[in-house]
Amino acid sequence: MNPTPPRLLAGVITLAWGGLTGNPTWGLFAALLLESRSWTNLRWDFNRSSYIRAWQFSILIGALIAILAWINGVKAGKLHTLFVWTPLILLPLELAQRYGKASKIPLNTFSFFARKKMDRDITEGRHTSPRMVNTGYLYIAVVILATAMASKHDIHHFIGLSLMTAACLFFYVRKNGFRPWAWSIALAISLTLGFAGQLSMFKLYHYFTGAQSAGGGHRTHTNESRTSIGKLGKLKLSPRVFWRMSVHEGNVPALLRTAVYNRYALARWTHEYIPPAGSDPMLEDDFTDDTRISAFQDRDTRTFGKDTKLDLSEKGDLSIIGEVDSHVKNNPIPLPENMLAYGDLGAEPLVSRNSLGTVRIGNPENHVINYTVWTGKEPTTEDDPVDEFDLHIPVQEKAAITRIANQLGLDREGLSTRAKINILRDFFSNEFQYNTHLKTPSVERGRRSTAVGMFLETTRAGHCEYFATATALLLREAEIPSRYCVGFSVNEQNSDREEWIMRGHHAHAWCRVWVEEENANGEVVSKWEDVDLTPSAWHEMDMLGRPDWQRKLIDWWQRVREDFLIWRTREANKTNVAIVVGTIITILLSWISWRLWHSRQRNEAKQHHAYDRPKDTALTSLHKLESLVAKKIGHRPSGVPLCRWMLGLTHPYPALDAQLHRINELHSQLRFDPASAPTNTQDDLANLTNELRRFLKKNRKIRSEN
Amino acid sequence: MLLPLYRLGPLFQLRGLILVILGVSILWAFFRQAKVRIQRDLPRLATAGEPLTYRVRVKNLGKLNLTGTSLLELTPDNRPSLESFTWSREPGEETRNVFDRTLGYYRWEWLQRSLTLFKQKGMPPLPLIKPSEQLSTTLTITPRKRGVIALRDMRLCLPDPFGVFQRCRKTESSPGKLIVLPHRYQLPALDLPGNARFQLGGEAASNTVGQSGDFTSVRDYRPGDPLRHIHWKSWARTGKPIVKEYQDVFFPRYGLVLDTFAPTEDEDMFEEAVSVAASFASSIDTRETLLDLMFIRDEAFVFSAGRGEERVDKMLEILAGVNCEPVSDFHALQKLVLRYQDELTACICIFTGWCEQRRDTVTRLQRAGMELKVISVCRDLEASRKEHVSFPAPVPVKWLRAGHIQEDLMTSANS
Repeated sequence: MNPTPPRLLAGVITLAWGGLTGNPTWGLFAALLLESRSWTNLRWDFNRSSYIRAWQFSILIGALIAILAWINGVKAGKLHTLFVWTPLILLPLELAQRYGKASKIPLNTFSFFARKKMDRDITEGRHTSPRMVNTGYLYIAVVILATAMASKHDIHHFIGLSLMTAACLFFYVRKNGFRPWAWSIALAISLTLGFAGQLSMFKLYHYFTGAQSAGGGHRTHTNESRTSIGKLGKLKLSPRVFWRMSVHEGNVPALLRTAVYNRYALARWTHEYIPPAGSDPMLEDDFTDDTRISAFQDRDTRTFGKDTKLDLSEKGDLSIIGEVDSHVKNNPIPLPENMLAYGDLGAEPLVSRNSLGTVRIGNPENHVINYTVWTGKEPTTEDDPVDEFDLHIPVQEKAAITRIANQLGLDREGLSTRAKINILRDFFSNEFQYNTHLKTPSVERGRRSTAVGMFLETTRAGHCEYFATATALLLREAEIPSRYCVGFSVNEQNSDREEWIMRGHHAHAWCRVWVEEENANGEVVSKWEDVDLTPSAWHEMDMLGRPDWQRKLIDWWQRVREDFLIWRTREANKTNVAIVVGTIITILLSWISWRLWHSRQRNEAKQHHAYDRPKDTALTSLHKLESLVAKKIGHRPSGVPLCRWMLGLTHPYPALDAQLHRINELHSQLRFDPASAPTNTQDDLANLTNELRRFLKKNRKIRSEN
Repeated sequence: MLLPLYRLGPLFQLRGLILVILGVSILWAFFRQAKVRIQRDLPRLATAGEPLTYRVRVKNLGKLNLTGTSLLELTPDNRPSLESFTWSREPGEETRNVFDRTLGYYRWEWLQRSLTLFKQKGMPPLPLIKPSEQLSTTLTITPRKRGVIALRDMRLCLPDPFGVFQRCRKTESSPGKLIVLPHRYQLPALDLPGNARFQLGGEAASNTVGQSGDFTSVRDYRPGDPLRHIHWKSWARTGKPIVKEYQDVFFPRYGLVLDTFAPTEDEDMFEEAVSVAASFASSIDTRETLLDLMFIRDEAFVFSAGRGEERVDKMLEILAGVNCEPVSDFHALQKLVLRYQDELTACICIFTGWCEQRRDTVTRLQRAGMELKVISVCRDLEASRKEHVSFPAPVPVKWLRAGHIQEDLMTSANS
């Protein structure tokens, strides 16, 4: 089989990689470097150590890309996605193969230990025969795989993949028993089955893993929260640090709210709203922008409140650092309930809030954000309740909710909102248990709609989502507007750094209640307040899992990384880092280019110097056959007479022996003694050479005997 | 910029396509059918390390056209036996690490290499062969070592359309035999010792009996001259009987002594020694000399080639089949050589290694008045020289390192 790919194949596939992965410039750059080999006769006589250096250079490039990716926030678990850059990472090695004079390189180039072993064998006089490999098709395979890792277009990718695969398979067997019909049929079958197969695999994958819901996983979503209500087993919560908070002034908030929802059904809380009249429901998403305030000259500070003339302290009340997904449009961010203003989120952040008070940042520049929060006395991010949503109780839970509410006497006349809340607080504290591990009874999928009822009447044990949901629904039954919140509970402090840590298992759910009461002046004041009726035992359960040394090490690493990323994204630091990295890369490339330039050679095999025939030499029809014969047996070496060289055809075509001798005889007569050659010699020679030409064009290496 | 959008669709496409191509290829290759008859046109002799091209005739015995196929000459099974693997030791194995010595992979590889008789160069594709059609092609194999190769298993390779898998079907073929002569090295200008001893030769190769030699002049007949020497034309001219006078021809006779007493682990050195002996055999001009090959193989063995004797080709065939002698008997070797001491001009002794017994052999031959050229094949030059210091030879020894024979032959290094 032909080990080296033909001209242009690698270049075209690299171009396809660039186009399909969104890196056309890099694809073009690599393709030009790869295929320039055919247009230039620059070659290098690389030895074993040169290939090793090329491989080491490839590793270095890979390491640099990994470091850059880490700097830009790629986690260790996601580093495999950088495989998309392997066409560039392996480019030095592939170029060394292409521009080197050797057709293959030793396989132990890629292994330090294998090389050392071979060196030891040579030193001790043992036989060594390293396996040799041509990297041509291997490189193409890597490029195809890298394209598949990050292609942005499904159908375009399949078309491109089919074409690339067909090209590779064609050139691989072209000179070794190629059967056009069989090949075409096999390819058609393969492409058809391949397409069907990948669809089936995809469906199987979705069936077994399940669609990752908007509310699943560790990310909060602004419009929906899928609770674990009704699910059995232990609720697994991550010890990973999500947010870190420093308190500069004022009290430490007990809860940081990430998102708020107002409608419950089938174990899901969602955000419902009434779009303004005349608006397009597809475009309108109930999020409104913030307003920039000019509290500071050189800092970008904003508010959602009506009052934009705010007198803010220099440091702010809180600083919060955490990671968001820079690829996701909507990243809800945690904030205390009485946020007044926020700032320092970078240049022109896209921050907005919805009517329930969920604040999100859209398309952040970096995936680690650090922002300052100023708090006030009143919340500024929520609208007043809408009875249609904030008093809604799902039909499936209505019966149980009503029973419990009646049992507790929440419908008694004259009871204030606070009194009702206190009744519920006592009810949950005395008669319920906090538990994240639910065993029985099992709740089938169809019965999850009554899971809250079962919690209230039967099991009387559950986690914060149960308590929050039950509280909200019971208060709604008592005609008190309530909402469901998710966020973090602040109760772990890193005393060394004076920071508050919010981990996965600090994630919490509680209620947001519309409280109406008289103030000291006798006026009825209404506002939203956090109400958390989850038994306090859950704090103690959290305390049981104190971080061990491994967790401390992970936390430390995460902190270093986030702090470094924040440092790096400051404008002044960005420039400095770019200058330093750019200088190092420039010096390295210059040094390599200088070394290559000084060791370059010319490809003499490519430079076939045609024989400089004397001007008055008699030409015969045999001379015209030289180029065709050269395609069969190679160019005529210097110093080899034409007739002797032509006899080389007898190796692949033994039957031509007699014919070739006759041709040579006639040619020699015409060439060296034309005067004594018979008159029909020219014609005879022409006939014989034409016959030979037809034979060479028609036949391959082997003749047929019949 | 560095973290792309990671989606699963294209990966599933690639995975699906690869699996399907593999599946289609393996099934297609599995169901390919063909029936052919093969006939080899083998030359009688080949040389170890030199490519040999021979013609193969292929006849399609099936009912369908045969296309996209190639021929494969399978080597005989080169797996070592359990006993061989257990008791053999790769040269230099003691310097390997514990893991390699315990696992024995490199020993296995070494044994396989030594048991691999030949290697085929490429598998040229066959063109379309119609039913009952016969065509010829050429195959090239490179014999790896001397000896007799039995070619018994030629396979017809039937690849799938993509060339990923292939089915190798047995063919109808009669076995062929090939004698592989030892590899020969280029020798420098031979500076063989000794004067031309009186060795009567001339036309002894013919069937004539009696005095022979080159015709130089005529003289008068003397009683007792053989009648067949009468020069009839001169008698007719002169009227009295005239006879032809011949001059005796003298030519040298050399002994080529091969040391066959090499242990199994030094088999590679023995092979080199045989190659060196073959190089001498093919380099000496046997039109003007006689060459006696002597070695011990169960018993003393002598083979003469040259003027009036056998051809050198026959000597090379004998060298192709010579094996190590398990039990050393240098005494028998000395006796063998000394038997011809009066006839031999000089002796070329080729040893595998050096030891006291070899020193004693050389000493004895030298004391008997023989002119000697001593060559010893060794693995390590320094170690051999140390051995030589312990057992110094009375004549210079030419050291040749196994694996560097050609290089050492062309240098003028002596002990």
